[in-house]
Amino acid sequence: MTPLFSPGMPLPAPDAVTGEFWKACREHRLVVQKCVACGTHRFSPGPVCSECHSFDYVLAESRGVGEVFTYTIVHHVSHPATRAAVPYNAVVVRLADCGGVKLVSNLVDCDNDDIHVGMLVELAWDDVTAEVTLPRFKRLSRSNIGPETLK
Amino acid sequence: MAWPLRDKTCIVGVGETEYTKWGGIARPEFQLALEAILKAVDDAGLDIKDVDGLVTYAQERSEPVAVAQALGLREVRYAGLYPGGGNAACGVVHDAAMALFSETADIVVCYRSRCQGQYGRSSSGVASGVGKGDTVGGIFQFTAPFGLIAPASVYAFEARRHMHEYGTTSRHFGAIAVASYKHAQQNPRAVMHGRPITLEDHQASRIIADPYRLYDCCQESDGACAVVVTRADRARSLKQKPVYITGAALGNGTSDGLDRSRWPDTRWTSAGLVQVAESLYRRAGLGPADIDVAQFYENFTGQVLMAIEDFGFCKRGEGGPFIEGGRIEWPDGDLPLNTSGGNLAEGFIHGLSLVVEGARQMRGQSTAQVADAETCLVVGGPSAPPHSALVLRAG
Repeated sequence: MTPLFSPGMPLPAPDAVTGEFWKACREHRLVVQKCVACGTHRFSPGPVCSECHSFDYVLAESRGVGEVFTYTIVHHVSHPATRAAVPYNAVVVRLADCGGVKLVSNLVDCDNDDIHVGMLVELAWDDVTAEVTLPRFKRLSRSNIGPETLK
Repeated sequence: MAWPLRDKTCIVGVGETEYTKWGGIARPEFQLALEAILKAVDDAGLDIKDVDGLVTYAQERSEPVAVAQALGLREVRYAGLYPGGGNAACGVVHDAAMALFSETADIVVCYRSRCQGQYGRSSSGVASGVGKGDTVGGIFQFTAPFGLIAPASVYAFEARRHMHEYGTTSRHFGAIAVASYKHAQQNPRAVMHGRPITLEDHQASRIIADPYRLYDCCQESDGACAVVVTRADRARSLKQKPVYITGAALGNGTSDGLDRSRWPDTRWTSAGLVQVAESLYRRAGLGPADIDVAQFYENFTGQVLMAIEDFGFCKRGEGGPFIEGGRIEWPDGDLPLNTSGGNLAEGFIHGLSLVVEGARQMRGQSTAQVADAETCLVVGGPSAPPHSALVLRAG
C-alpha cells in the first residue's frame, strides 16, 4: 500500500490494555472485546464492561465489513508528517458485526469526493512499519457483497 | 425542593488583560494571571490579601499555590484545579460557589491565563497530546495515527453527522461566526475589532477539516481573565452591582467521554450537554424561554449549533433554521449570542472570558448590551466532558 503519511507520523504505543488489539492487527485480525458475562462488545479496548461491570472478556474477530458513519476531509497541516498527504480523509466506520462498534480510520484507494455517510467499506490492512499494522478501509468490493455481508 | 445554592453566591468583580492574536504578548503567562486577578479584585473593591480561594483549570500552568505565594495571600482555604480545558469555563465558577456556600472559603477568584506564543498553539499536535515523537498512548493511539491531530478534525465528525441527519449546512455554521464577528465590532478590546465578516467571507475561507472552514474555528489568543466570587450577603455591600449565580451544573451523560468510539449514536449529533442543561434549568428554576442573552463557548460553530439544541432553544435538528435570519444577533435577535465576540472574535481565553461577558451583561456594561437583560446563560466547552454551564441573574 502506498504510504498515506510521511515517516514520523504518530504511531500507537500499545499498553497493557491495548497491546493485544495491536498484536492482532499485526496478524491482520481485527479483534473487538466481548464481555463473557453479558455479551456486550466494546471498543476502544478497556478493562471492564460498562454494562455489567464484568472484567472477563474474549476477543471477537470481526469480518471487517462496515459502513461510514461520518467523515472529514482534513486540509490543515497539524503535523509535519501530514504535509504531503493533505487533503486526506478520516472516517468513523461502524462495523456490521461485533455489536456495531465504531472506530476511526482512513479510506484508501478512494477519491475524497466519493466518500459519503452510509458507504459500505471493508478492511485494507496497512503494514505501516515492521512492527505496526493499522486497520484502514476501502470501498466494499462487489464480490464481497452477499446476503451475509451486513449481518 | 429548590437547589440550595440558587442565588446564594455572586460574581462581584471581573478582570482582564488585553487580548491578542497568539504570540502577541511578551510578558510571562504567569504575570498575566496575576494581572487579571489583581484587576478583578480591584474591580470588586476588595483587598487582594483577603482572597482565600483560587480555582482554575487542570490545564492551567499558573497553579493556585504559585499564584497565592506570588501575591502574598494571607491564607488559602480552598484551591481547585477543575478537570479539563474549555469545558471547565463554567465549572470553575460552580466550584467556587460550592466552596463559598460551604463556608470553606470567603472570597474565591477563578482565573485562566494562556500565552500560546510562549507555550505552543492549541491546534498543534503537541497541545492535543500528540508529541513530535513517534508513538502516542491513551485514546489518541486510536485517532492520531489516522491523522486526527488538530481538534478541528475530531469535532468535524459530529458536524458532518448532523448535516447528514438533519440537512444542516455550512451556511448555518457560518451564521454563528458572522454573529460573533458582528458583535466584536462593538467591542474595542476584541481581537477582531475592525474586521467584520460576511457569510460570503465565511464560505470563501479555506477549509480546515471539512465541513469546517477557517471561520468556523476558534481563534488562538494570548491573554488572561478572572472573576471574583463571594456569598450574596457580602456581595450586596460591595462596589459593583452583584451578579447572582442562579444555577450551575457540570457533568455528562451515559457513555459520554473523550473516547468518541464509545459514544451512543445520538451523542454524535449533540454537544453532550443535554444532561447538564436539564440540571441547570432545574436548579435555576428557569427554562430556555427565560434566558435573555447567552454566551456559548465556541470551539467550533457546529458544536454551538448542537449546544443550542441541547439547551432546548429549538428541537433536535432544527438548530440551523433557528439560527438563520439574525435570531442570534444583537440588538434585534431574540437570543443575542456571544455579545463580546466570543471565542471566535473577542479572544480565546479558554472560555472564561465568556463568563466575564456574562457578568458584564448582568451589570449592564456590555459593549453590545441587551436592553433590560436579567438572565444570561453561559455554556462551557461543548463536546468535551465534563461539561459545565451557568445561569447568571442581574442583581
